[in-house]
Amino acid sequence: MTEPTGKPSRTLKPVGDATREPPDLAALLGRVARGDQDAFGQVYELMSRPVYGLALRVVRDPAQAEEIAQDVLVEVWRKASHYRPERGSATSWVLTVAHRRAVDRVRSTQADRDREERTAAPSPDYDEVAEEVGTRLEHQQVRRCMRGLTQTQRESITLAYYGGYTYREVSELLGVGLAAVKTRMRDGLIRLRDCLGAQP
Amino acid sequence: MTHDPHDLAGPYVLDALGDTERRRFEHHLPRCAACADETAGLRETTTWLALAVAHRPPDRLRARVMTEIARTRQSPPPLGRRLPSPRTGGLSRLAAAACLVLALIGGGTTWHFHRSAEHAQALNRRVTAVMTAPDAHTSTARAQTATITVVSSRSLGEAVVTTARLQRLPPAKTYQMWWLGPTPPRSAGTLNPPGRPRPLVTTGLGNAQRFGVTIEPAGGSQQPTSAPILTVALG
Ligand SMILES: [Zn+2]
Repeated sequence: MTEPTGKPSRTLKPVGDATREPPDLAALLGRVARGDQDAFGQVYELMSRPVYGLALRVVRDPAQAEEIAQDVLVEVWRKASHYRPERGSATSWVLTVAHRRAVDRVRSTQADRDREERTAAPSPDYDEVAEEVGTRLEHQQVRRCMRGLTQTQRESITLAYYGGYTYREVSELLGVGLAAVKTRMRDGLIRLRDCLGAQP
Repeated sequence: MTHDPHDLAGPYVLDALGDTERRRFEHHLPRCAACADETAGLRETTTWLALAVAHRPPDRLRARVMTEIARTRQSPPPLGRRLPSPRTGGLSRLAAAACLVLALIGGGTTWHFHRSAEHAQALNRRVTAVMTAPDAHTSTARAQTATITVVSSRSLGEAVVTTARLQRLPPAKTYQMWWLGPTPPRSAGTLNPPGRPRPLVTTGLGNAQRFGVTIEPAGGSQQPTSAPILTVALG
């Protein structure tokens, strides 16, 4: 019994805060939690690109990224009833699962040589991947706002989020104290939030 | 040495903590409204970082995933939880706002107000209104003897005042709050003997430029009879 609720596959809007959550995803998750496979198909349309793109950016290997994306999306199916709206947006929930999974993978399976490679190229090339029309808006906004950070804020965030490094590793890579790295991550994110949040 | 987890929100939302630290911070989160609120906010920011690198997966992935879910049993909702319902919001933000003020007045002493539903519910509705007003402005002043934080909203004409480390006064004396400038001082009420710090609401903000606290005879005065022990500029 499928009710004609929700519009499928609207362009995914960036999520600045809870009130700008695309209504679709949280509502879709509610249906998915009840076993609605059609709803899950729509979740796939909304989230497969961010999930796959993020995994690809972190592990830098298409085959592994595909595996991770599949695991994450199946996890979303399995755990849809665990999503708690009061804790944050649905987009954020899915992408948190994806990021953790990708980071776990890169920490546990990457050979030392790969780690060294990643170490050798710590430049914030956060803009190297996305070329899709659907993500251009988010991409442009993030790139613009990234420019507003100090270099060490940008490097700290990039190495941690896209590189999968712990803040202790970031501290070593950048030759900066632990406290300073923590502060730069936090301050950089706050500055990003203020910049991105100013968008309509 | 004291372990201070309050500065881990940034690394945490970036998944940049080691396992041990992550577990420790996740243990801390439900007990600290300041960290919980900061974490929730920063988490949404990292979502942008993910969206910025979105990339179309190979087409075969869809069929694989759909096949996989068709034979994957779903996990039931955690005990005591209904299936996802529309967002309610509000309450936790309020608790966090109050915590922010209290954390501010705690200053470097790391005094933290812990999150609890009762705490949030106990807050006066007017406190909420001021703290969540679009034009809410926060000012803090520290002196040797006390710290005061004022969250004021011109549009509401009210302010939420919190104090810390105020000395206990002899019974014949009281603290009194004032709206200062550009007109002669106007009383904003007296302050109860300090115990556990609690926000209070004062009205009559008007176009006052500063907020001050004096020590007055018990019952308060029409006009200040002594120099303020603290003043704070208003937004
Ligand atoms: Zn904390």
